[in-house]
Amino acid sequence: MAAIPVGRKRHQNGAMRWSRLLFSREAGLVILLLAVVALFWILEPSTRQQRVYWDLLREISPNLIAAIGVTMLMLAGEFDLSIGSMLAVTGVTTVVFFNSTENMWAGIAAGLATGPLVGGIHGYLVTKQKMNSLVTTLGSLFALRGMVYVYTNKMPVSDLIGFWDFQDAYYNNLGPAPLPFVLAILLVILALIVLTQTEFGRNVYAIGGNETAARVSGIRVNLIKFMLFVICSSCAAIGGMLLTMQTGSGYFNAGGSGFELIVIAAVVLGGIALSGGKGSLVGTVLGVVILGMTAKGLRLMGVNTNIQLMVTGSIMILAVFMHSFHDRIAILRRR
Amino acid sequence: MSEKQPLLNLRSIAKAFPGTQALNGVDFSLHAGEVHALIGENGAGKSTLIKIIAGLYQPDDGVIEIEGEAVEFHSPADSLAHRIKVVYQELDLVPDLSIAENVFLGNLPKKAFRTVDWNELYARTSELLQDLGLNIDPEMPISALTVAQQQLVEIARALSRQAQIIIMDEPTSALSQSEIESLFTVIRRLQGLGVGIMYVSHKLDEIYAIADRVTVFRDGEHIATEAVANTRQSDLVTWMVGREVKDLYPRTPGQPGDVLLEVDSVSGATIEDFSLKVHAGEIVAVFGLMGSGVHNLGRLIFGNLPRTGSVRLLGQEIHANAPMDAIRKGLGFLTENRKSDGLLLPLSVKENITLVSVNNYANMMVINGQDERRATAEIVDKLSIKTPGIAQKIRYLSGGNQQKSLIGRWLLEELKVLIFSEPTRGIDVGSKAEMYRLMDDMAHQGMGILVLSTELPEVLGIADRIIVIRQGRSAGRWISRDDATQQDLMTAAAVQLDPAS
Repeated sequence: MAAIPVGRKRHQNGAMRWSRLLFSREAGLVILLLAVVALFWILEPSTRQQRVYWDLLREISPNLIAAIGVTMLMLAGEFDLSIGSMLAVTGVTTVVFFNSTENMWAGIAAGLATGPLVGGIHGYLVTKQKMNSLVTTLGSLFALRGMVYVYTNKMPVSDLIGFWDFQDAYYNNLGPAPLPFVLAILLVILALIVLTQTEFGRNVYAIGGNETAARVSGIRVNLIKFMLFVICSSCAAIGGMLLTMQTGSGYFNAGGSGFELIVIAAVVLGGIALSGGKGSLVGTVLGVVILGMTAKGLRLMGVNTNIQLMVTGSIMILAVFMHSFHDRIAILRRR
Repeated sequence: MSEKQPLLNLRSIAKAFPGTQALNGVDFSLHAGEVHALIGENGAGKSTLIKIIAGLYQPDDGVIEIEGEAVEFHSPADSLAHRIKVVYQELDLVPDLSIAENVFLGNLPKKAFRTVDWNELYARTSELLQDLGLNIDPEMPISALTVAQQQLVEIARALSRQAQIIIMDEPTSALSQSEIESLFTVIRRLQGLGVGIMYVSHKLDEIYAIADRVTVFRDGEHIATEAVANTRQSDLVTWMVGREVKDLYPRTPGQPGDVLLEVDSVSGATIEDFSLKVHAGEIVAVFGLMGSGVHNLGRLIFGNLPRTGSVRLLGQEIHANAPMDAIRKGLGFLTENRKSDGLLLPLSVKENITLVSVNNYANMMVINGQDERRATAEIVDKLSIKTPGIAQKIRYLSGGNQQKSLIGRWLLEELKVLIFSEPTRGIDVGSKAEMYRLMDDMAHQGMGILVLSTELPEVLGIADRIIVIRQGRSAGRWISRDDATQQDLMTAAAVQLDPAS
């Protein structure tokens, strides 16, 4: 007797899911991405080669990995502006340890360890000292960059030993796919599972959606936020590691031209609400790819960088407009 | 058999905040299968006690016992672990998560690797919701539900944790009469299951309908605990207020003058084809239940929401969508959401009072601080707003004094008509009387007052004329409050909304 209503319900849900997918934020972003690709396909013949896209994926891997951490943090309603400076901290630390220990793995370990270290400090200040994360990480954006400048005297730190494997790994492929991108995608999948399929991930959404509700429901809000700061800085450290592999040196100004803003722009473009609790990692991935593709296409066309800024900014505003339009439609559809 | 161990026993709980002793050695006990009401005016210490039980605050002194055992709650998790669930007045739901995720928030069923067991989650939620007589898809987002449904989701949440103690904080504040009835049905069912329910409210009729015992707090002190059956309503009021309340409604109608405000077949939002008139020296009330659109009416007239139809003040048309125009022509509006739509919480009493009129003290766009302070001081004096000074941050004032400050904001303008939406919501009994006296004064000075309210006694106590609104339409008019009875108004407001009853 109970079987019939259950069956009917399944069917309804199935239909609902399809319409949800069709009207989802991500569907809009896919269309935007296709439009960007098509536009360059027409305007710039060199973008018709497959190689361009594999290169693109290699280049955006650091952004993509950093964006994972930023997304998770922003879903819980917090920010990290310091990720650009993290890139330099990781790079310089890695190469300095290369030279002092003459051991590649020691260098990598030291470089990556800067992530949890800085993230842990942010997490402590925000959750225990009740400091605002935007201001706190704005502070460390400057402080970390300053430390790197002082330590390196604004000179790149070169790998004196020559760990070629380290650099090769960046340029090697797995099948047709660049290794950095393979790493990025694995991390995206891992994060996607965590966010959508684990209690931890659902609690992240709950905290961003209504922190008081999460707290009174017995969710350990502070612990989760602390972990998210660690994850975010660690993701930035991995991104910084990739940049270091790319150049083979610790560059004092890595990420110095507004890396954090580009990543946050991609995340917002992907539909993550600034107030937290809303959006998906899939949107973030699309956001990173759209901004990356726009920049690359314009570069290939030889458009000057000032115009690149204009176009990138306009695309971002267009995407945010799409999201607000989507929100209004969603409200109407619920009626 | 005679003296059973209480589920929850609070003994001489004390809690102080800077400047106030919120609770001063209060007792409260709750037995299995009992509904124990806690009542008191605002500031009596009810919410502080709830937060202590919920583990959000730690008491300075006193003992919490669960089934005879002393416990300490350091966090909400500790309280939940003792199967205590608070259903808060402001619903603690996450709007973008599904119903099911909200029900099991902080407690999601899990499979291997701590991943969420979705099938289990949806199945168990469906079961719980059906137990509560709610037949909805657990995958829907919370934001798609009505407030009453959300309330039931909160209760489902309590059940999902097998709560043995449920604390309900003003659970009916946003519910219609029929929804209140179904909530009571659920409460009786829970009672039968041996759940102890602490029912915090200040609606006395509800206490008689549902509670076994009642405890009264006043100013952080325990005043009385009695069986409801042995307690008269007048006793409860006396205990709450600490004195006999007479003359709560001091309305002395005068002779109405010319028509000031004319609302002519206005439609928009949830309102359809609504008309009314307010004369000089008159208090007109529009009464409706939650969801009747009574609150939207104020926004339509004032121009906060788009409308069709005409609104005239002294014969002059007020443009739709233009609150500035309404103010310029002499119409003011006090919203029912004082905190979110009215007050500038982080700012001072002065800045709140002069918000609308600040240009009157400006010369070449530079504000003359002295004039502004003088005008504010006059208002504070005239309305006897209790504040240490006009520089005090308004958030530290009581609800009644905040409301008076908002009235002051409008009195600085030369107003003809002032719209009060829920003029006494969240205001204690003492200040209520003062608020009504103020409205009476304003009417005698020739202003027109329009009251939008969901509180029946208020409407009957203060209005000269009453209009009932139901489903966005006019559902009855009374030209004198002496002709209207509670029965009449409630019937007009509720009957067709709920064909079952």
